[in-house]
Amino acid sequence: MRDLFVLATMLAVVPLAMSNAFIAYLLWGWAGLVALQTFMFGFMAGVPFVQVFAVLALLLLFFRRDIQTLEFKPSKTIILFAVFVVHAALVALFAYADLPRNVEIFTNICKTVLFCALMPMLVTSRWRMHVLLTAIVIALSFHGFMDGLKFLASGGAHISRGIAKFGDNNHFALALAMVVPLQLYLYRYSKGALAKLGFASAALLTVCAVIATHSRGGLLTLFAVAAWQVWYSKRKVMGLVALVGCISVVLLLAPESWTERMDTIKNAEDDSSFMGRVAVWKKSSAIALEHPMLGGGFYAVQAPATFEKFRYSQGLLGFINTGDPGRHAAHSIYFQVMGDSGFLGLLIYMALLLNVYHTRMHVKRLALAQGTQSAWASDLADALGASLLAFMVGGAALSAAYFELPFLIMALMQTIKHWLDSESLKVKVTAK
Amino acid sequence: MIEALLLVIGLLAVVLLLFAVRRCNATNSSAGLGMFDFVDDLTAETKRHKASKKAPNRA
Repeated sequence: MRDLFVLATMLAVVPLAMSNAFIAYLLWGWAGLVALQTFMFGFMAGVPFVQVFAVLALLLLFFRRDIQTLEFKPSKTIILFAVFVVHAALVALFAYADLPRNVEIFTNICKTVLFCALMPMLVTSRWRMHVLLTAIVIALSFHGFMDGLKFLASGGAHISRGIAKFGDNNHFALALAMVVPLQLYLYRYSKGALAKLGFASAALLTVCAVIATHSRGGLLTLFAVAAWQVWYSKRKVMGLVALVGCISVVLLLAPESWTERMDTIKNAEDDSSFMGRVAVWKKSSAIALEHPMLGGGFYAVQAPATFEKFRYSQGLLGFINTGDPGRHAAHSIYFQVMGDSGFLGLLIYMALLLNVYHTRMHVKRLALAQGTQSAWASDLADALGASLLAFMVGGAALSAAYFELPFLIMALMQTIKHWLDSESLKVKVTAK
Repeated sequence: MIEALLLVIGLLAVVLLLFAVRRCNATNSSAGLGMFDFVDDLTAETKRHKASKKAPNRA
């Protein structure tokens, strides 16, 4: 039945996608995050939705089937993306032998960066930015709604395991926590009562879903998002009161098993799960020390041969006493990139992340100069900043370096700046 | 059951959004966004909203 419904939906949306490059692009972004296949069990389970919409978008863009597209214009973010991909290509090429996921991860990076690089060409107006953000939020809110409702329906007993697309429960919590600031932005800026209600309930249920994952990193990430929201709120006292209220509700609703699990955050040194991560970070840094420019290749630290080679290496963290690493994944975006692509790769990656906050400063300055009609740009830049902060905090203990959403945030921040620049230019030309 | 229901709602939301985008593409404005329409200027909108709340009391 589900498959038939999805088929009917696709029959409705594919002709729409074929009529305009931007619609195909929206579907490409949406399909990449919603992971429809996870919920299909019949003949639609094997349909490559993302690839279909990606090919359509590229073909339509090539044949100029959208009169509102702009010419490709390199920007600081696009140049950083290009440097990142060229470096990633060299990393994949000179990687250790027998890395099972080396080519797969490199291909995924290329697809994500291609999507992001096209954004300034296709997302050329405020309404297009709003629509793209809405599509992204609908895709991720679907997961938040689902597990949030299950959590409430079970009186807090439901434990969310996440879906294969994101990884385990911790990765799932990170993806969900990242979308909360975007939901709040859309709640504030939506005109329709139904949309407002939808985004407000999505934010609330997404927070419940993060709690349902029983992820300690997820909880810390939520705190980071809340702190950012309160810090940049115009009504800080109200924000603090709301935050304390939310925490009280969570503590009242959450089951005992959840509180016990969260209590272990305080005892990181005694926690075998955390110390296991430190042991793997030693290996990642040891790989980077051996290959500082190109690292060991994608997911090198997880490959059996590399794992054995660096099993007892102390790397940069020899001063911390850990046992034999029982786990294989890098468990930190920073150490993951360090091991995969060396110190140079980490430098490029950090430049990409920090560039978002640099661009945000420009956006806020431009928005302030343009008056209250551009205040939305400043607020959207804040929401994107909060979302990326969630990634940087939550990702510190997860192997999620190549997750699409942070790359989308990087491109969207650049797109806002691009739009504000062109608006300023229009004003200057009119004034002359 | 929850999964199937949310899948239907989620897909319907996307279909509605895409039809709204098609309308907007024709005019290159946000006029056709319908339920997904956004507030142009939140400060002005908040002031207007507050004023409209006070107005009946004065009357």
